Amino acid sequence: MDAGDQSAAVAAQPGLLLRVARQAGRRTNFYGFATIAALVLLWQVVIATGVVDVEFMATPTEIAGAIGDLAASGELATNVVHTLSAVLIGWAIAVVAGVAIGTLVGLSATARDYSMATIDLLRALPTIALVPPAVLAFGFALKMEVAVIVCAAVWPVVINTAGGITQVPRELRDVARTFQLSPLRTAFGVVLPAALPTVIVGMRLAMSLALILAVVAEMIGNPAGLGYAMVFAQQAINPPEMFAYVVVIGLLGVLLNLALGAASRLLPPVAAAALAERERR
Amino acid sequence: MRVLGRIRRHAAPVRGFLPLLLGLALWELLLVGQTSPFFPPPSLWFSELTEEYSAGELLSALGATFRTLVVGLAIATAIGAVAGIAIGYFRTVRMSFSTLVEFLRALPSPVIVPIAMLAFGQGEAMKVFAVAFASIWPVLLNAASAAGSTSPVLLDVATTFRMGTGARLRKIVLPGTVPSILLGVRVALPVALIVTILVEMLGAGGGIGAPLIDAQREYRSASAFGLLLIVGIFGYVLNLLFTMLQALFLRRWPDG
Repeated sequence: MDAGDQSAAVAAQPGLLLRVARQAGRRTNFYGFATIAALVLLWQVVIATGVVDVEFMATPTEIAGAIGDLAASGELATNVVHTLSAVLIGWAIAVVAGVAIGTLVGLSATARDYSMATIDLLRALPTIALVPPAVLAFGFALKMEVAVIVCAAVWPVVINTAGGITQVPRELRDVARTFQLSPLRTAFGVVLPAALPTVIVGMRLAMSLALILAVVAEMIGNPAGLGYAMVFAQQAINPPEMFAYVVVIGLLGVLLNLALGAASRLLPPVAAAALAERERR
Repeated sequence: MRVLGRIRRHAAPVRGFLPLLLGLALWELLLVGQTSPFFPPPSLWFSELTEEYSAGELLSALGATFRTLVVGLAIATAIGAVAGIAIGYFRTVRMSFSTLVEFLRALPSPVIVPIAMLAFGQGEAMKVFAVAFASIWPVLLNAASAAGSTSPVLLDVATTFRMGTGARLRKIVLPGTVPSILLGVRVALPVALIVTILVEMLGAGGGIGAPLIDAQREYRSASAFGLLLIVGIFGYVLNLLFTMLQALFLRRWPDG
């Protein structure tokens, strides 16, 4: 089971393939980007010349033009700000709540006993089904998106915090007991810092979930933001604009991931080393 | 996950439902008698739901969702395994495609749905395409990483027996990646379920997504909560079923 568990971690790790490829050869990026460039060029030529007649398609230049138009009209900025604020507010609440619940569940065996089954059931909920009740409870508003994001993104933080804490070496806790640290100081000064690398993995998973849920909530619930604009363009049969929003949402995902990666490098050296160790495995 | 296994080893499952039951009971007690349009008490969920739909209707909706999900996942598994093994085993393939794969997997999966709708209209082909595209990445990445770490000793054995590339892939690399591929499918399962319900809600009709979006449009919040519970149980059972299948399949599988 353990080897398989590591593969699950592999699937959850951003950038792993890139790292593996980079180790395999220093010129990876050249080949990788050449492939993408070639595909984009092929896409442009095939659609523009009409060799393959695909209905409702847009060429890369049309998409780039649509992105330019949307940026010039200010529509793009409005939508990005809306979606991004839902993602960041929801993620922040999920992280705070998740670390709190995860710490409690990780530290106390009794709390674990009396909550794990509930946590397992709730985190298995297909999160998209939260949108209709949330729309009816909170209305068509940012609040609804945030509520859905929190309900979905809190679980990876809880699980990884609790899991990280149970994996903290016994010696560390013994040291805390030897120094007669109070439970609070033990939790915040010893146990949580030692569990930090695992917590950060949970925070990253929560971030990608938050973006997915924001987009979903906008696609089927709140008529605002990038998700709604994308579906609106699709229903208006405006392929360049729809693909423009697809590209923007994709870039937002990549950028959020990069930002979190950069932020985790600001950690204290010990925690950063442990994180790097974990990611390498 | 190992993390989870460690926790679960100490957990008594039944006692753990206490917070959920307490929460629902509290909800019921605080709101009973009131017909809150925002947070209807749990006792209303099913009475309203059964007024709207018969059990048979709900079951056949779940059946349709299940069909789309399984077909999409099966296609994702097949393509993901083949592409993943090619990326993991052949260095040139890996170098050429890793950047593209990294970008595509970072794309939030719901964006594939409008693309699929433009390309395929509203039929079953669109649903299956969207589900397969969204769930291919965990399978592909797991297959690639397992194929890339095939034991060098085994590959030496293949060289000794003068196996061709085809035989190597079939007899040595593929069997070694099966456990990882199955794990990738398990990671993909929740994503696949979300995308399946999303396409159903966005107007493709059929499946459990249709009553969900209807409940939202017609402001029937008790039904929406009831459906949420049904979908939750559905997801839980699916995960349980897949875990059992996986264990059954891997029971006699030699360790890699």
